[in-house]
Amino acid sequence: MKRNQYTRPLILYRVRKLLKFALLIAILIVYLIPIYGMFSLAFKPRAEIYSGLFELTRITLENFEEAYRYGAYSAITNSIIVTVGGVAIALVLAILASYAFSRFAIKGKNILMFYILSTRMMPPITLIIPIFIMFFNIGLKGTYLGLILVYAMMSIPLSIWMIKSFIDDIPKDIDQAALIDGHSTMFILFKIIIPMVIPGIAASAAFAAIMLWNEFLFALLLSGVDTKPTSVLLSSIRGERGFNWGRVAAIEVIYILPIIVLVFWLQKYMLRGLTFGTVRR
Amino acid sequence: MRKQFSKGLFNKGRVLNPWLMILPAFLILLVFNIFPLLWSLGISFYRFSVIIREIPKYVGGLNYINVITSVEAWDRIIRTGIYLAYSLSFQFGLGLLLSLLLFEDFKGKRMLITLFTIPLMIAPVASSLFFRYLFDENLGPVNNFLKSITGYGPLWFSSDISPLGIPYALLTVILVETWIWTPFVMFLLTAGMSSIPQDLIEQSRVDSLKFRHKFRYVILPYIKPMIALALIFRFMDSLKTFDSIYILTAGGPGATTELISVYIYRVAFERWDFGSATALSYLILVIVIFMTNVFMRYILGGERS
Amino acid sequence: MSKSEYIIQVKNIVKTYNGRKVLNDISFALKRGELLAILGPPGSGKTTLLKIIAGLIKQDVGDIIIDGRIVNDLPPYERGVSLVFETLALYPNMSVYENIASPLIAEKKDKEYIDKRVGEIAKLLKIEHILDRKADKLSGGERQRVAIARALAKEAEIYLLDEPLSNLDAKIRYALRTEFKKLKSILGKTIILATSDPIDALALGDNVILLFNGAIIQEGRPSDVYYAPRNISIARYLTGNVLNEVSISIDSYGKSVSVDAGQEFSIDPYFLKVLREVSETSITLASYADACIIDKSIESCSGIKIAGEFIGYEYRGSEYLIYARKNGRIFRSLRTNLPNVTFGEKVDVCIPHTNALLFSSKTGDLIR
Repeated sequence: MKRNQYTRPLILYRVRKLLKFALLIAILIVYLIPIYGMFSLAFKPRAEIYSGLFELTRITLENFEEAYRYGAYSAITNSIIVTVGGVAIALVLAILASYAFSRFAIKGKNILMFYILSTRMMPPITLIIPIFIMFFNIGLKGTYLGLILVYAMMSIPLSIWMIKSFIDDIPKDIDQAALIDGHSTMFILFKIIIPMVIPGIAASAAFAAIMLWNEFLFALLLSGVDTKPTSVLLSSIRGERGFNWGRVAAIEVIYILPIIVLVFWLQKYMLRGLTFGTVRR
Repeated sequence: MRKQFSKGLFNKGRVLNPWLMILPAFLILLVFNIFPLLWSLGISFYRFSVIIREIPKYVGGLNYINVITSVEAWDRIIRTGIYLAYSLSFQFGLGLLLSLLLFEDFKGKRMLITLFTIPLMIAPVASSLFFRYLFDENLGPVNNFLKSITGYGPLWFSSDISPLGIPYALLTVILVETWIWTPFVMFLLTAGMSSIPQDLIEQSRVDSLKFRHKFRYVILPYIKPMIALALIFRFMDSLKTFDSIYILTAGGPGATTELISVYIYRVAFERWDFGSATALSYLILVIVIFMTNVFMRYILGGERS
Repeated sequence: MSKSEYIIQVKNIVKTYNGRKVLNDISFALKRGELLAILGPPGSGKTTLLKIIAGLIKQDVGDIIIDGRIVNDLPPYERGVSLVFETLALYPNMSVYENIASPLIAEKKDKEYIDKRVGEIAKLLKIEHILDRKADKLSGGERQRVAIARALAKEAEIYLLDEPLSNLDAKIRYALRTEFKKLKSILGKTIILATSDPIDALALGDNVILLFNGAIIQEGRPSDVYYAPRNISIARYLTGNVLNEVSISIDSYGKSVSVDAGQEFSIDPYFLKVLREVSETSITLASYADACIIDKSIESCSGIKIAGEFIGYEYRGSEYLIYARKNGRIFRSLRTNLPNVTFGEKVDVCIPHTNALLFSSKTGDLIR
């Protein structure tokens, strides 16, 4: 490398960049230790649980068996049922509403959109008391349907906001061309618009699914013994004494695995999802 | 309104009334969101206690007065304030550091960012439970490690005061919440930084700006809206913190970690005093809306809605 | 109801957006089988007008009458119109076949009918070979044809085309323009064509309407508009701003005449007569390139003759466009061969008064 008056700053610059990168990796590793710990604990044999977090000499599935006996698999099934149910209902209703908001001039559109945005502000605790009473009286407490409906309510605002922004990206001329051809609104929505925003709809569904999968408070209060999702199951572990951490880790691993997969898949849509779609680039 | 012809949704040229398309979604929102909110407001004016088994009695603003004059409630609010101060500082400090480190473009940046968002996306219940294990005073790896080095492992779930001036239990909750949410702040700030025009960055490099100047003039203007947005979101969400506290400490020991959301929950579902709980939650809601508005007007100056 | 003579009548259409009058009292009528060209610069309201006729936008005031019926309250589907959008608006996730078949599918025609008709139209527009391709994987020219095909597939009274040739490069434009002329006579349909290119309008239209800033400033047959533009700005627009212009002024005593193209000129008394007649002190003489003569030396010129200098030429395939300059003014002449001159050499420019257009220098309106 030629030595001149620019060499020293250049070396400095490269060294600095390398240091930054090293620091970043170091932080990342420390940061993700708990995740690694969960996985390693889940596969550790019972005897080795307290011997050290990092060593993984023998891999065993006995913790997962224990988890099964503890009722984890039915809890996961319940999680799946309420999440899929909530997302499905929310998605269908949100698609219809998003299209209407995007394409039509509706009186009071701004107020409605603002209301939708403000639902994020509301603490769930305010809602849950009346809903709890309502469910008790109507008999929805402990049912799948009850929780699914509440979950649909939670997912609809986020889904409308995201899907609408995807539909807004499609030029209105296409709708108009279809109108001249003679197609009905439903045809335009289902056969033309939706196929064009499928990735966006999938991303909205994924974000909603993550939110519902992880949800705790409503599940705690509104689900029953047979219908409780994984989050509630895990919380009931908390109160016990002297229990099997390996089993807990196993349940958690099953619980978080789908989310980790989804996160990698959702990389592109993160910004829209996390900021409720208010920031667009 | 356009005319509609023969029946059938898919029939020739039938243009649907847009209100019909909005209706189903809003029905659900009406029943499960708007209605409960209003009902909640109504309850706050009654003495509604399930234990006493009496018909709810209208008491006007009594609940509100009780809440405002309640020492207990104020204690929780102050505690929540302390929690906010520490946790927001940690989250933004660490988040800013991370996003600055991520400022360069390098291979695998996307992957790195995605990895960082994992703690954010997994269930707080799950991560909190695992942290409960990690920080367990007798069996947890953290104390094992600390004891092997210093011979001493702090009692992470006790009300002893930590070197930072707050009880260990509260500190633990703050640490866990920071772990979960810092990636959120980092992500938003990184997104803001990526909107800085390339020529500006190169200019600052050519001019060999000192870091603090670079930060003030090149970076800061572009991340300001993001900081504001992140602050608003984090403020609103932090007040709702429930899951991790419930799992880690259940509000204890005593009331050390009983933040406002946990407190309201307890009042509602352990004391079964719905009247006070709803009154308190509305008070908090009003505070949140007020502060959010003030904040948006002040910092953003009307930039973003 | 008797079939009216006009297939479409547009009466007093007004449309305002955000306080701005986008269309101001537009009225015209079209007979069956005719092609009406609406010519105007971008933003003049052409697209809005077409969309109002189609029923996609509602006008504030005025009526649209198609085949004798007032269609103001009818949805687009019921009006018997077909529209090709400036943006084409093809359905990207569908194949070319499905795009073209779209109006037929909406009408619930059976498969054989659709197959046959799509085939016919595809053959006509020479796009049979891409019927299976997805609409977002086509070239510019192909997309244009598919858009036209889709519009043709629908049986309509009136076909509305919004800038159908504007997205294409010159070579394809020329080819399509020619094909268009053929199509027009084959199909015999009634067409309203909106364009900002004067060549399209003058070449294809049976009638031309000039739309500037939402108002009709001239209408008529192409030759009428071309040879008798009401205002000099129209003439400039029609030639793409390469109009030959000279200002002729007379002094306040009515005695001496001056021309703003220098001292060396000779002027036919005809112009002086006109000047006195219209009692203006100055008129602008304009002529198109085909009416202007530039040569090394011109003996007799029954118009205005100006001495200028030769500065260049353009070869246009079958003819040359010659440039000469005098006093900053540039004159252009269209001829079949090059004059024997070198750059900078002196040439004469002659604009005969028979082909000249005279405009008032003040208002720009046509005098004769």
